[in-house]
Amino acid sequence: MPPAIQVAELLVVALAGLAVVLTRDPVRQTLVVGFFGLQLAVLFLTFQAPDVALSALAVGSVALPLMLLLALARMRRQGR
Amino acid sequence: MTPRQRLLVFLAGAAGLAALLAWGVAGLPGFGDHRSAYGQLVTRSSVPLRNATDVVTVVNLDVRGLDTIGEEFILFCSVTAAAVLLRRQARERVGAARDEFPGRRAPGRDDAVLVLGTAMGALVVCFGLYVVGHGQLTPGGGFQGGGILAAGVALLYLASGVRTLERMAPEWLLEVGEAVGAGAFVLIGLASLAAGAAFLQDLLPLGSSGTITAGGTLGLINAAIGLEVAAGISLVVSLFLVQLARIEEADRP
Repeated sequence: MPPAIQVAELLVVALAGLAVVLTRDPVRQTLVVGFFGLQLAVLFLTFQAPDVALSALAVGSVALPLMLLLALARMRRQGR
Repeated sequence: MTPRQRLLVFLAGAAGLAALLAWGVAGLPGFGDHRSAYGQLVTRSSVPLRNATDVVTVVNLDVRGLDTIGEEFILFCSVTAAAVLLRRQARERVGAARDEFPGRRAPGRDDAVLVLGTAMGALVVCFGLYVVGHGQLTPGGGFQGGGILAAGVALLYLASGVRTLERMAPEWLLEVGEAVGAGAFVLIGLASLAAGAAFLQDLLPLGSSGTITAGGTLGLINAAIGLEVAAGISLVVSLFLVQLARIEEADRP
């Protein structure tokens, strides 16, 4: 049986992933996906993979949401 | 096809998938059971062979260095593709920088945000450089540190606007940084070949374990990757921002 902190973090990641799918508005979804990326980094940390956690932190919770938001803003401006 | 038939086809497929999945999971080693001989070997030999204490860096940049060059060029190609997509089209023209969305007034520049954002940006950049520089000793390295450095550039924009970003991190500088970073990794490998050794073989003194000089070329490769990743991600973000703030459709009134 894995340690309690790993079980708890796995559950949080599963719930965060579900929340990403259930969020319908793309702008809100971008923020939820950033939270999901952050939780993924914490998950890697609890599994003693700090190298992967640092990559996930920078890519999943900063770069990906930022680029999604920028792309959404560009598309919305074009739609006007 | 009626919904009922579709459901039957789905159920048959789902049952097959579930059976195969259960079969596969049953054959997995137990949770937290490290039986890989390769893992044991590489953990034991990274300090004796390379004086580097971060095994992940040794595997990524040395033992499997060639794979990492391939990965680095995946990022390079993605950034190039994004730059091609975001280039200025013939029907577009470059206008004055506007940091606001059409129909919505942006709040004016606030001194507190500017000072706090710049101070935090400086801290983030320092941390990024630390993570890049200590990749061979502690968790981190070029990819991780480069991502953190790019976050520092994004923070600079958030605090001070698109004009400051264009002045402090101009497009040409980011392009040069990306190209130099990607090229330097390959050149480090080719330098070993030119000296008569294998590709990427470490010919520099290995330093002493636990100091920043440990690991020979590992530090140089991390610096190259850090430059490439930081410049690449910043370039895509800055191209997007310039698109949003400056580029206008020429045929619009």
